Amino acid sequence: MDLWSYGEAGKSLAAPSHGRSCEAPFTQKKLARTERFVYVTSTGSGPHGSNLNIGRKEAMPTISAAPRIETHLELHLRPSLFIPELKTRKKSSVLEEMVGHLAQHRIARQADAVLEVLRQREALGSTGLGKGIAVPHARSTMVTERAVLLARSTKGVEFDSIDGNPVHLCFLIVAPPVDRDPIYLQMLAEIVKAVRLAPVRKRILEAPDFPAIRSVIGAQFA
Amino acid sequence: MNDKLQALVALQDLDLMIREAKDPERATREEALGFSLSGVDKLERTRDRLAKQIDEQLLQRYERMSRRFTRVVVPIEGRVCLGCFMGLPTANRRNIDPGTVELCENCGRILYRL
Repeated sequence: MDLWSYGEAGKSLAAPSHGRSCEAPFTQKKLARTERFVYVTSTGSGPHGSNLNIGRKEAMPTISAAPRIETHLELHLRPSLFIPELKTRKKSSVLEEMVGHLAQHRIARQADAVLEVLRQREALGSTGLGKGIAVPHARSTMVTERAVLLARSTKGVEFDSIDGNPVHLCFLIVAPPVDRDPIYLQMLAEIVKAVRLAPVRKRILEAPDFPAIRSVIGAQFA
Repeated sequence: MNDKLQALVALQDLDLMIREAKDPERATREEALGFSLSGVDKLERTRDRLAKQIDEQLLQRYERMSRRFTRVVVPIEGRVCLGCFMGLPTANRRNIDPGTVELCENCGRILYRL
């Protein structure tokens, strides 16, 4: 019998690849959510017999039964890295406020160095994408781990966006400078995908707390 | 962290940003998402200005090493160079002059302490 199973055979856990690289914590989480799932690919009968019982619905799991795999963005969004309302309204001071928050949570070792990299990234081209969204992002030697900080501003921040409108949702991505990091770019794409629709942006802005925001974002990938 | 190291760290971060902005595949992906990367020239000018502030000998070492390694300035954690993951002699720690820059005896990378 040729089978791979999430339940017992730890070595075959990587078999159902979803086309992207995973880090250890992500894999662990995925396994925990899917460990009951057993998939049989052969019709042969082993010493214990096959569980391919034709005519019984539970013999082969359907696609809809499989739990949804969380995106990298969802995995990186943390309640501690959420600013419900930004105090400042200028681009440079908003970046300062956000980096200060990262420094408090020991993600930025030296806030000044991280802030300078973000300013240089803005000099390269504004990360204000328009429609009230900004995704400032940079890699810095002074960042300990990849992180996403979400900040809201109901009044709006002047961010030199491409459409000239103030920014209401700001996703700050920072990461250490590793040689290859496909997740970093993937998260940028996931943010753009998550907030592309106006009703979603409105729901995120009006959400009462972080779990509500997370579920709104998660629903975009369901 | 002393001033020399701070300048080197800033230079390394800037170099990485310029390298990524010039990478056609990566730049295409970022631009497709709506991000602008039009200011590479501006970054290169900033990089030149920053490089002039760094001690010539140290800068030469950095430039030489950056041809071999993506990251030249790396942290030490628990007496291990996080560039090559080799242990450093314990004697090193006692003799560090705060104004000097520490190098990995194995790979030659420039080190900073966390």
